[in-house]
Amino acid sequence: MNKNINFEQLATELDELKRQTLDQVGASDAAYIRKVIVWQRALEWGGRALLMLGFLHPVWWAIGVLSLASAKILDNMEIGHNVLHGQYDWMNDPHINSLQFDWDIACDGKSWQRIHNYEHHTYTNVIGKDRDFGYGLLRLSNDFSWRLKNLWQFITYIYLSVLFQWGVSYHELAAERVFMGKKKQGRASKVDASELKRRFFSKGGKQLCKDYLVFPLLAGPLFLWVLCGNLIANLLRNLWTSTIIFCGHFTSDVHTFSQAECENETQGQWYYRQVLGSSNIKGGKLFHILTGHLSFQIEHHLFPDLPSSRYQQVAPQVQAILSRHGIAYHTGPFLRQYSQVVKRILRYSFP
Amino acid sequence: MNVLTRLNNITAKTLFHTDSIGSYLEPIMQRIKPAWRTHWFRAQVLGHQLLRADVVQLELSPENAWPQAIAGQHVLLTVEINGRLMTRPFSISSAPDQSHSQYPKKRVIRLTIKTNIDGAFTATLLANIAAGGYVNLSAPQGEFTLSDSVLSQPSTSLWFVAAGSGITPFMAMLNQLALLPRQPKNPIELVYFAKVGEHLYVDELMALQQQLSLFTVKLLIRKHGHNLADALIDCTVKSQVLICGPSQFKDDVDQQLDAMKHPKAQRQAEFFQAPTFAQTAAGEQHVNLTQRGQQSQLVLAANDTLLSGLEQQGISANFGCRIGVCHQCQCVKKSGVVRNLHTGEISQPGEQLIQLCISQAVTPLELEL
Repeated sequence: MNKNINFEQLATELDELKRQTLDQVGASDAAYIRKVIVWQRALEWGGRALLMLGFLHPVWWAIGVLSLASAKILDNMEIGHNVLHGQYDWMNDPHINSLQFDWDIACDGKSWQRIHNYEHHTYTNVIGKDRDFGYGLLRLSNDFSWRLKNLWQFITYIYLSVLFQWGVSYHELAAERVFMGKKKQGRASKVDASELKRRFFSKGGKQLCKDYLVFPLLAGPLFLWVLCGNLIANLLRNLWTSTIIFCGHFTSDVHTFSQAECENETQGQWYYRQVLGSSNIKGGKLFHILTGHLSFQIEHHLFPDLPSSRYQQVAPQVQAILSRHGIAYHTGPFLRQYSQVVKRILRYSFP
Repeated sequence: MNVLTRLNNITAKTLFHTDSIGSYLEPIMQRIKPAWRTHWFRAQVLGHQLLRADVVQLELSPENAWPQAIAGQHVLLTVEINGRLMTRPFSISSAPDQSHSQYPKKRVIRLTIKTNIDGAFTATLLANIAAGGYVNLSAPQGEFTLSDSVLSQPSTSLWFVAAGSGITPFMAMLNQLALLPRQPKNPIELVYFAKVGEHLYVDELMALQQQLSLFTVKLLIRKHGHNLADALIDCTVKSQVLICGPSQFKDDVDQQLDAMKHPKAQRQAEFFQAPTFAQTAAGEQHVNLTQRGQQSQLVLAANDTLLSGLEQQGISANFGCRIGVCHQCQCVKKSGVVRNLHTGEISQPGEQLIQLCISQAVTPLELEL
């Protein structure tokens, strides 16, 4: 870790910024997330209705697909990701909180909370601890030794993006070696394998049943229109979330850390690692909402439970603090960030 | 669970990822009907007035589905305060059958609320409710009510012993007795302690004294030398005694009645605990824990986090980072005050989600894992 940074001062300044911002959180933030949920419901049902009008003109069906895909993206990103982080728990709402909420993807919300909220956010980019770095499938830095399968890892990456919700769902089971492989030494699992399996199949089954059986059947003769529409909407959502998430941690500037570096880490050093392990994407207001404000990945990693409605506001202040301490703040337009991701996947395909 | 509820739950779980269809629709319903919530009943605020500088009287019109209260019961009142839903229990101070002169056609209930300038709920209550606005209510709850068997035995005298805002459930009961088609035959004594000039509903009590022939009111002030022993001197072993006030007051009344050999079986009490920040002698705090429907009583070191405190007692709570980041150890605090070790913030006493790994007990707690 960089020794020239006054980590104590950094921690004080960021803590203070968080405190000040949390003090402002209130009615407008509650109204915001409820409004996003209303939009999500409207887009979902508007979309599902339009899918059935495909027989009038296919353009209705196409709009329906986009509408349903947008609803699924909002549910996954701005609502699901952020509510499951506990960002809106202060509202005391019986439904909009991290204990009750579940989302419209194959992954059980509780499993995601264990892997993402705990492992990924606590040990961000610590090799061997944060399994989100490459998801155990991709080699994205020299911290991992090269293997033959890395040669075609770009294709693996495409598969992962297409099936992203299933990847997220299977993530914990892969880590726990539920179906195959040798259990890692010293890995104490909190939920036993049979329970993991049960939840995987139960949530995944419900999702398949809903999108590919119940809704198509409700459409009667338009069974195939609806089935295909749901399939494409899920695919679009998968590609979008995967792309945004890859831009958050796998651009070329992003650092990795060894476990030794992070021993006895102070709060300031933890903040520092979160910043260097993340990168932002520039864009407009609607773009930020559709990314679930993961386009403010740096701010999100510094303050994971700050309501997403506040990331746009704190970003300039975070950037100012970091620049005073001489810490890099990685950001750029979407295409530049994404091309860096693609380059990184390709670069590490080779030794 | 009946078939319809099950069907609702299964449909909601499969199609909407929520526990019921209502909770999926809730944010949309709230656009049409403000404060519509699946968990609670809705009530419209008809008006409010200050009975005293620090006592607010709320008049609410609950929705039709709200079950009728029995005189003496309380409700949980939920108000959205700066985006946060806050819930507190309050006794209903009007009788179930009482009609309101201004709103003859509506069912109106009255809540009498003592405000506290330091209280997060009561201090800002008036700023957060407006006539015509909506709040939420639980179903009426509590067993602090008059039993029919007592009323059918005319020889049993009724003693209502109140202190401060403890008068509220008695206002409901007395108004209810005054509405009975036939006058109750039991003698009714109200012993009401308050500070100088702080007795509530004095005019209404005087009017009730006119209506109820066997009812006597004693407005007492400790500073003026009134005491419990004198006030309760005519209470016999056959009297039914109902006590409402701060917990210390309830203890004092119990002590006095014990000394008079009045049987405990003939007492009912409702009392409220002012949030005291006292710990037990050894710096410990009591925790009432509900885990998978099982209740247990624990004593935890007050200077420890709740998470490690529970673990030391052999309770396995869900956890992750242990530094307040991941919310894995989130659980429901039903009541009690905790300190957030990250921010130093002292919590509300009501129901909230808390993170065990960065919370310390400040008062006795009720937790649900």
